[in-house]
Amino acid sequence: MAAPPDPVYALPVCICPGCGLACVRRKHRLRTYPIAFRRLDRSFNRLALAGGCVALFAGTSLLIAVFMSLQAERTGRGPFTATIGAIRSAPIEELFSIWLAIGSVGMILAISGVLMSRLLWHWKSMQLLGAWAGVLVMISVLPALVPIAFWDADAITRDLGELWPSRLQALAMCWVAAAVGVPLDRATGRAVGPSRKFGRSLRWARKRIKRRQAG
Amino acid sequence: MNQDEHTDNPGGGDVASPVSMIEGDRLCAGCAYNLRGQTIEKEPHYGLYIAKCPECGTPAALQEYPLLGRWPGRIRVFVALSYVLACLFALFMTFMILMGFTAATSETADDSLANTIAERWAVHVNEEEALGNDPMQGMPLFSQPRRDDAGQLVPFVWNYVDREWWRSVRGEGNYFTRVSAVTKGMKGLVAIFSAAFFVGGCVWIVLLISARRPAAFVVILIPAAFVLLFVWSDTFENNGMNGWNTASGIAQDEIFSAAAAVVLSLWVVFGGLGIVFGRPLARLGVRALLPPTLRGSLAELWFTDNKPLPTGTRAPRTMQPEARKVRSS
Repeated sequence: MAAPPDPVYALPVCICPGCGLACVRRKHRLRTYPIAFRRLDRSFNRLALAGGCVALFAGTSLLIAVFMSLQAERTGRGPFTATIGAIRSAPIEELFSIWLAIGSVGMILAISGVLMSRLLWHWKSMQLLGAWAGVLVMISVLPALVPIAFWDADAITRDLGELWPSRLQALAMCWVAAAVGVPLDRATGRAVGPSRKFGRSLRWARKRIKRRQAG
Repeated sequence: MNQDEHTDNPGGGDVASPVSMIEGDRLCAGCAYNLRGQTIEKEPHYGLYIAKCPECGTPAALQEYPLLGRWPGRIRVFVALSYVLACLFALFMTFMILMGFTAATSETADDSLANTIAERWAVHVNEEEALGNDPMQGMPLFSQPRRDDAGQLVPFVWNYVDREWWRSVRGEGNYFTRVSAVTKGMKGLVAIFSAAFFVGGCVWIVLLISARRPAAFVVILIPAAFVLLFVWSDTFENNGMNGWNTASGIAQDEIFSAAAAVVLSLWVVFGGLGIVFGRPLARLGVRALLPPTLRGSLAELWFTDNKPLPTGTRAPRTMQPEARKVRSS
């Protein structure tokens, strides 16, 4: 049944020929509110992005920590003492390369802290750092799953008794490096905010001018 | 009755009479002004309930029923069917995962039994051959049993064994002893399977977003029932060549049902725990990873358990309508 716009309200009024009840035809939500779908899509994308990034940063930290703890094990010291020892005992010509390696790793972790703070901006800084420490402690036991799967008692004892404290110490160092990134982002975020707002209003003004010119 | 008759016979008088008030958020179709709090009137021409936008005067009809076009209905059916198909696919995947885990368990736990079968078969063959018999008559020709320099059969799990001989000598073992042996043989796989099943339960309760927990628990039992059906139907029994199979293969067949019992028990317990804790964990994850501005579209995670949305979440509704009615009453 056709429902042309009625002369009074310009609404698609539809009158039942049987009982005379008037109704206004409506469009379905799927057509009138595509914004709801876009929001859902955006939420899922953001969830996947944030989850993926957190997993990636945690995995990177774990990888670095495992590598550091294995390196430190060769010297029979903890990762922190081993790193300080390596810097102190290094010949002058190797010092630059050692600092470059430490700086690169630190930079990666600090950038991960910045990105994490940017993605999880709804967290307070201290809460974010506390939660990140919790995540690192949780993932520190993941390498122990390999000997657990094979029920290799010696390997489990070795992993949890010797390697885990060393890995935890290395993860604490990673946490410190990532923690540097969080206040960096929070401090620069405030500066970026007004400039972004200004840019947005400028774009909006240009669009209005274009529309006015187009008539 | 036509439109002219309606215009001549205005619904309820010539003057619009106020009836109620818009309580929720509703945007004007003309200027997007929020019509919340506007008076609903019964207009005189058609007897429709409408609210007028105070900004632009556009009427917003409240009696809206027949849909424009058929595509929205088709799209709705398509979305519903897609959801059903996704659930069926998830059921199939769960079944395949359970079967895979059962096979992996029997593969891991069959070592001890396979060695026992191989040793007893080697003893039996050597004794029979010393008496001049040929116990390997009928064995597949492509299989060459491993023998030592003296020609004696060496116990080896990949040697072909006569299944009938094994049935005659194995005796009736206690089923629970076998289950216990499988659990011991699984070693640390128990921990890994438990974690995987917990995650599986969490995924299922989020996928069945509008289902209550007992109903979701029944759903996760469906793939488990199919696995049991496979076990009871003896699909994996009697494979091999003309009644011959490797010692390892026979051992796997022997403990497959016990392995299935262990895996399905883990699935019921840890999948069930996932069902119980899945939605709270999903809500925690959403709260942790999404800012309040983006949580609104996932509000169903809260509404399905009659929980109010977290503070600051931007959403059209902050509480499930039924829960709000109960609270207000």
